[in-house]
Amino acid sequence: MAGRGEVVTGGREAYFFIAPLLLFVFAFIVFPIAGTFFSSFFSDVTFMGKKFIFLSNYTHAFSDPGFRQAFGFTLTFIAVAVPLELFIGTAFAVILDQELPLRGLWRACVLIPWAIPSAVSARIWQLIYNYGYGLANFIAVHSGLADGPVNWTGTASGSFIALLAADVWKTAPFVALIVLAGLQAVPSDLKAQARVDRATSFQVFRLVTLPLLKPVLTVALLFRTIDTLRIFDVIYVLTGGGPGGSTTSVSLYAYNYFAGGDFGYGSAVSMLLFMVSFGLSWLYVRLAGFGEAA
Amino acid sequence: MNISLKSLKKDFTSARGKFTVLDSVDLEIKEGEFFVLLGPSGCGKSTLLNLLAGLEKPSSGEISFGGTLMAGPGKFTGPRGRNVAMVFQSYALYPHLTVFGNIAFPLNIAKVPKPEIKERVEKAAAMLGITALLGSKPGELSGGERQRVAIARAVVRRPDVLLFDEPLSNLDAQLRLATRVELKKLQRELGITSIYVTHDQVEAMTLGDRVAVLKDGKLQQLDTPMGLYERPANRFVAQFIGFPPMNLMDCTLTEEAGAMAAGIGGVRLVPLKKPGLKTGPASIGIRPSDIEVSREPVPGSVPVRIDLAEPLGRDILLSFSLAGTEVSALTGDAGLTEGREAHARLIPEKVHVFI
Ligand SMILES: Nc1ncnc2c1ncn2[C@@H]1O[C@H](COP(=O)(O)OP(=O)(O)O)[C@@H](O)[C@H]1O
Ligand SMILES: [Mg+2]
Repeated sequence: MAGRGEVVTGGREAYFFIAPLLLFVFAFIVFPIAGTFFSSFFSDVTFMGKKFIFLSNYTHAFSDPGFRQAFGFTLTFIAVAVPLELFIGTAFAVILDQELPLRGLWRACVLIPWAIPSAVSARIWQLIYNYGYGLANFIAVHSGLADGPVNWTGTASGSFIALLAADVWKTAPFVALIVLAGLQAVPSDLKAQARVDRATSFQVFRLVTLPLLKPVLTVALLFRTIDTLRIFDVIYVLTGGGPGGSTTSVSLYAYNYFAGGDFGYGSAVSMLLFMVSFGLSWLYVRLAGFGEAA
Repeated sequence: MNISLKSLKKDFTSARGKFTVLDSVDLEIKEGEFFVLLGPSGCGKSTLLNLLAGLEKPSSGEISFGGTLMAGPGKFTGPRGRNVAMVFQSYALYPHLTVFGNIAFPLNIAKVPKPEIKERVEKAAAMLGITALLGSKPGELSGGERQRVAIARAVVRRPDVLLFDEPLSNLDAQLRLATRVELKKLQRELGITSIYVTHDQVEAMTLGDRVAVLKDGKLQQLDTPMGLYERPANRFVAQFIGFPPMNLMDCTLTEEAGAMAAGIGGVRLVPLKKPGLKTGPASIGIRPSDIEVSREPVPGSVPVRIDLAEPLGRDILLSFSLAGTEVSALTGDAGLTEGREAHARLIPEKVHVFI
């Protein structure tokens, strides 16, 4: 009986200790989401009457060409950027896993882009793509790849490529970091065994290392997908969503409505984005096996 | 395939500097032989196997397989150029492949046609009694089953040389005994030149056609198991081989009227029959079974007082002080109990002298 009593007391004490965290989660996560969800049922534009319209904001979103455009751009960007990030990140991880001189230094260098705040790195890329004095045009012109300076952010495809480079540059190191951790967890005996079994270095990688990296790559894929779904800052700084809305992501689209004072529609778009992110996060938790009791 | 090692040396360079793991190892391993490398942990056994497999390059010296130089000055053939199979201590089964996939792995690499792979995998599995496990993943198997899969994967390739790195050390005692017998039979049947590494002298004695004893990267002795037991080349081998271990005593060799004898502090212990001995300090070694302990004095015996009598089953292991040195002896006389006065005689023919 004493044992039971202790367990109950323990439970109460546990709530006491996690209370600050719960408070934080409620104040900064649950409450804003609930608030946004609530707002999304209203027509709520600054200086105009607030009116309950239930799901009209949502039905409007599905027929809104601007939203479709933003949604399509976001999906396309994910489809191109995430595989590229995984490929480049994995390649760097494999290189960093080798016995190189000054290995620690190389590892630190590769991580730098990821450590720089996005707004700062977006500024750096803005300078790189500058029409008159940017590095991108310097290289393009001097290497003969282009006849004259390219107006990177002036065309839809130029903007897309500019954003792609900036985003991959910043996030591939994150992939490299977690894949490197995965590579180091591959037992060296298994690689030695494969070599004794007369596999080439490439076969060792393809038949032994890569299959063992699958869980880590799945995690990287989901992390990067969820993160890219919310892409905002690089686009805001580099292209502002242009030209002609061609690089407007869903986040930026929602932001533009909030900025324009239309809180109801902005909230509905945000909620749609939230639901997709939430679904993917849920999938991630399921796949990673976090939800299960230990 | 016969294997020849000439002045093989391996250094590792670490942050603390260069150190030699294998030092001038010379070995000739015969075609079809079951060759055992015996030595304490850290003496360089795995390093030697890695050199044979081609996973590591020697710092100097030569390795030849069947007369073909595999590693030597200006020449190095990696694992792909050697037909060597290896069973690691950890078994190193590919966790993402089934048992079938594991055994088939080296055949897939060798691009053996699919129907032949199936046939050979099934045959190897049958030989090791793991046919029922072919569809399982390594994670679902017991230690003994994993070990069999690793052996099946090694033999399915029909390698020229089989390397075993302490393959029984992760099994429990009973399974180890049974597997030891099977392994020996399997090797006899296949006739593949095998090199087996262990730190367990019983395993080495029972499995090896010949045993090489290694310590600190240096070859101590190479002989048949009985040769090592009967004629240990030095103190290390003498104490490493045989159980209970051989007694070693520091003593003085003296000569009286042309006859050599060993004694400690004026006590004459045993006459020595071996020719070519010189007077002065030396060590003598004698196995516990070669000391006769009796209740009454006999010619050449020394009086002792029994400190400890440990029954081992058929024999009793006695411990006592012989002229100031702790020694152990085996007896069948249950009357020799702790605290009793007795008389010990070293059988002169069984005494080993180490200078
Ligand atoms: N790759 C390596 N780098 C540095 N030292 C090593 C390496 N491999 C083995 N050693 C060292 O060499 C010695 C012998 O190792 P090993 O051959 O594994 O011994 P054994 O198998 O007999 O226990 C040990 O001291 C070990 O620390
Ligand atoms: Mg070892």
